[in-house]
Amino acid sequence: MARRLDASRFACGVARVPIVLLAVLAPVAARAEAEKDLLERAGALRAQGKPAAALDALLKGIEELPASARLHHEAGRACEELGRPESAAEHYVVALRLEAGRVETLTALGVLRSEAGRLEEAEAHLRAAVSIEPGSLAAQHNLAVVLARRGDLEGARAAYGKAAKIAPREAKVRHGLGGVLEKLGRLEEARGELEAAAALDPGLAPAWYRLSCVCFRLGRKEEGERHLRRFRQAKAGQHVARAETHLREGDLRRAARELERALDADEAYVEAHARLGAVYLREGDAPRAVAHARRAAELDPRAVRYANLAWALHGAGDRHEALRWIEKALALDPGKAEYLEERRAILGEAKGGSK
Amino acid sequence: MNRGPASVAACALAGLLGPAPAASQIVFTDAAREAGIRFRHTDGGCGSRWFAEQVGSGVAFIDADGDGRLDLYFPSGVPLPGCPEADRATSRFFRNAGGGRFADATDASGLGEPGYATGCAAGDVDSDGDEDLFVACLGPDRLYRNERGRFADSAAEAGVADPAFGSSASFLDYDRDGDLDLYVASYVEVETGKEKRCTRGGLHVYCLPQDYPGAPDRLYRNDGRGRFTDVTPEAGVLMPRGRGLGVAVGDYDSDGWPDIYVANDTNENHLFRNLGDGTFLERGLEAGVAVSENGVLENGMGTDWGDWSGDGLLDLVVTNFDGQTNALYRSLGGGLFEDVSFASGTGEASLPYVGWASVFADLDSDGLLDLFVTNGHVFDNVARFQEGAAYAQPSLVHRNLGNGRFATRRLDRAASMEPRVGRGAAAGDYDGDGDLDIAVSNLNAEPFLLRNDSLRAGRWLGLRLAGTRSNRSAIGARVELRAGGRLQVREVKSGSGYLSQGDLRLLFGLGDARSIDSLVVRWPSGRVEDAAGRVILDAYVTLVEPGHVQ
Repeated sequence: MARRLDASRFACGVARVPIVLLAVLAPVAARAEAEKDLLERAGALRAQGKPAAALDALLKGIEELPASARLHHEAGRACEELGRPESAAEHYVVALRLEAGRVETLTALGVLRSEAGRLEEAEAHLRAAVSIEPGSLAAQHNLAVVLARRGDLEGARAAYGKAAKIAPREAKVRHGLGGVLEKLGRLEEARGELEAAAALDPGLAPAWYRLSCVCFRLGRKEEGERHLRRFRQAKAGQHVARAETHLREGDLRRAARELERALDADEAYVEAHARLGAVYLREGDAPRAVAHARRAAELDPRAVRYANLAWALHGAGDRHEALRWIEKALALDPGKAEYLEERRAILGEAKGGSK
Repeated sequence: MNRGPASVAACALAGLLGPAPAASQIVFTDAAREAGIRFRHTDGGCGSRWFAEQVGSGVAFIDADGDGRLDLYFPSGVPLPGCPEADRATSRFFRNAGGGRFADATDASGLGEPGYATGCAAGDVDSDGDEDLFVACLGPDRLYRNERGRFADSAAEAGVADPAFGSSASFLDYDRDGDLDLYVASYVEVETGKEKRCTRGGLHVYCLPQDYPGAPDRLYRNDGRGRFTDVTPEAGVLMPRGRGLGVAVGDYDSDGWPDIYVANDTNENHLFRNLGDGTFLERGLEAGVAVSENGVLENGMGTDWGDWSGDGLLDLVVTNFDGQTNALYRSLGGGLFEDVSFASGTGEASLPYVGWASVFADLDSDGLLDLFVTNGHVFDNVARFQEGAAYAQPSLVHRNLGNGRFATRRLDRAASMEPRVGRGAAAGDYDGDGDLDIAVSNLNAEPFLLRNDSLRAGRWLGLRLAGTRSNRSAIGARVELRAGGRLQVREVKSGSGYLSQGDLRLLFGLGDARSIDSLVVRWPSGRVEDAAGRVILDAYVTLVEPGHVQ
């Protein structure tokens, strides 16, 4: 089944903020202006990856404007990003008390309840959201997810169908619809939806996976195997992309975890081996660096892989093997200055050699 | 304890006067203390949060002295680097003295040797008529050979003393040559005492599995002369990246050859299909049981095979982390499975918990396999960084309603007991009353011995199978019983669930049926026997494989 469209899936915990009715006496225009400023500031902080600072700003704002449903909603989102779902839920509940028909908040609370396994409540919130705003893609989609989880497959199919009408090019919706059709035993229709999802977003690994499952059920074995390969590649690619973000932030440990996950998804993913070789070398774990660089060279016998292996071996103190591999790299790419420099370094003619 | 037909009327009368368990309820009473079980598991830690501490240990129901009563073995950790030495063995063995009582017989049994013990599996590896015990360890594993109730470790001579971080294990006769082979899952490569320190928001926490390389599992072939040969690569089960925690063996494709399922933590789970020529083919993804239905790698912990849907095909369960469902699969036939976690109602109930042992067992004797799951978080300080989460978590009893759905009860509410940090669990009829009880190993705590006190008005059949041409424990034998229009399929299985060994006997509840229509035994040797005429109801019956004099 497809996951939520809403990005805020992590929890947060927060001090309860009393509603001070005095604040509603403030002039409406000034209040709106202040609210807008606060939301912009919090939004900017969240965009910078600082949800805790965003939450602080929002809580201060709530002290000044306690009747602002929007501030409570945003505080809930910040709480989710901080991994504090119960506090997030408290903020959403307050937001709904202040503004009962807030579709965005009903949806967020529905998603939160669903993830906590409170599906009945989740369904109620999401049904309320779609009854107020039938054109809300997030509400329709998440209602479909919850209905499928509750075993109401026909209801889920109908909700996915509405979501697909709102956004026919939304791959996650088509994937979800395909999954429900599969559970209903409508395998050919499921295959069509899942193919559409995969075509719309080739990086959507779950779509490839479900498509492979449907193909196996339909007896289309070769097609299933092919889709499984795409699934593995898409999955590994996602982890490598996340690893690159961590590498840019200088967080080697998290990068290594993501790269290991990439290899868990697809052991033959060359880029993951190559990057892990470099990460472990920087972390001083030479044996693992060599192992991954060697695997990358096995899988992708090109000069750059040989050179990387030479660097790792050099880092591990195995100059003899390092020299052998840098020679192999130079045999394929004779003029490459970096390789020549590394060769000199290995031979003791120059220092350096770390990539 | 089971209240049979005579007591049903009394209970019905009592029901008029006050609350009594309904016939459809599964009722457990923790009888550990009154049974004389004096044991407290230790993870061996003392604040350093070494990775191994989280894994916990299993539990084994094993009839060590062949008296027909199930004894209990509780593996345990030993002090880890930097912690004070223990003054006595931490793993304990309790002999069943009858009358629902156990006596500590650790020293006399020879099972008290030091070692950081995690998982266990039982089977008669030397075909001498008694149950031997394999114990997986952090460090060299143990193979305890049973000589008339006294055990001696022969792992080194047998060639199975793998020093890797062993977790679950299971005996099986994968080549069907009549002796028991052995599959041992290994978790990660870790040098306890020399690990990195991991933090979360400044808080010292256990590291994650992804911080350690996976350790390959092992398949050992029994060469029949007291030695085993490691056949992992040539048998096609070498998966160097696997972080194996749970193992279950079952013939999912009904071809007569036992297949192996491995639940891996943060890796794809593996389904090794036995090709019948000494090799296996990994088919997890193709079968739909390797990852979540969204293709997400999950934290596989425990696993079990069982035909809960009653169609004659083995279904599967895998426990996972909180926020993930425990995956309940229904076999579609043709080697394919469908994830029915949510459709069955078990998925929703499992979301808040970190699941470990998963045990299929007919707990209310209605002929349908129910599901018992232990829970407990991995992070001892989880409450400090994850709202709403707790370290100790209740076990769940999922009662099979027979319509594809399960009704779930939390054990703490059903049996008025405080949650503990659950890990291994095993089902077995320790009091011999014809229903399945459950033993649970709790991390750093006393175990539960859950005596089944459910009402049962119906009849039952207990079978102990003894192989002659097949392996002596008849592990891998499949029994198909038809009664009251319902098909029940059970296989004799060695280690399963999570780090644990259940009763090697098979127990069938007949529900409303007064007699059986058919009983067919498919022995591991391939021999198929109509055994309906050889059994009596409401008793345990030993069936010896025909065709050979025992």
